[in-house]
Amino acid sequence: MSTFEETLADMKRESLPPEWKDDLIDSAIAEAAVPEISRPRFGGMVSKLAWGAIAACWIAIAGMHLSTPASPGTAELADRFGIEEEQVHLLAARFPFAQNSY
Amino acid sequence: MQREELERIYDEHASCAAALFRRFASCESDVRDLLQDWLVKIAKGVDSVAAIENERAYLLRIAYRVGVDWSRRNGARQRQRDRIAEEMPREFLPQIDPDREMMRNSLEKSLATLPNEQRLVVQLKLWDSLTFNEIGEVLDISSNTASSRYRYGLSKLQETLQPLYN
Repeated sequence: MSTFEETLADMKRESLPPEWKDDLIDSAIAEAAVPEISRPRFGGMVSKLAWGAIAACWIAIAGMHLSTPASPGTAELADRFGIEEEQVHLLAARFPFAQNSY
Repeated sequence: MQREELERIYDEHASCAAALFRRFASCESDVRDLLQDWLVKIAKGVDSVAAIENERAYLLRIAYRVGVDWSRRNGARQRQRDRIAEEMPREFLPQIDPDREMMRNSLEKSLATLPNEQRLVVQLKLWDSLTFNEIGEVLDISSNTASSRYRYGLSKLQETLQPLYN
């Protein structure tokens, strides 16, 4: 350390106001004693609820899918109305809105 | 943590932590709030600091993080820092010798002109007696960076204070 640095280092700092000490220490001890709300536990609960809701949605979608009758195929329609499959295709192209009403 | 332990830490290190907090705070009541946060962190975080190799560096590292967090939360207030800096109390004790008193005044003014990162390193080195390795740990920088910031800061101080010093 040079003499210049030593000269600077010799400057003593002002001390803190003496009345601060007890106040700060009392408050720090009191605040440290308060238990913190456990965030991970709360977060975990929310997460389980969210996953449960997603699972319920999927189950409902799967249930609706299974309960809805499938549309008849081209061959089945041709057979049902006694026409050629090619004609079913032409009718489907001409009347697309009627396709699911059979 | 026991009250006696916290009192000892306060007696030995609070003024160093306060000096560090003055680099973040805009007035003395902010410094007091920061000291409060610092003590709470210490009281919550460690049962005893006896096992820690360098207690001062460890506690000043906590102080620096408290200061950085506070600064992020109070960005707008921080920008007003220069405007209300005169509210801050003097950093160094008054000197009886008039030459030393003049040196003290000039030192405080010169320190205020240094960039914050240089000023922090200078104060940790000169008045908190930390090594460059320890300063690096406190400020999350390499010891080389700490050393170069110190050299820059010191040479600026030397430029302004040399006439008084000789």
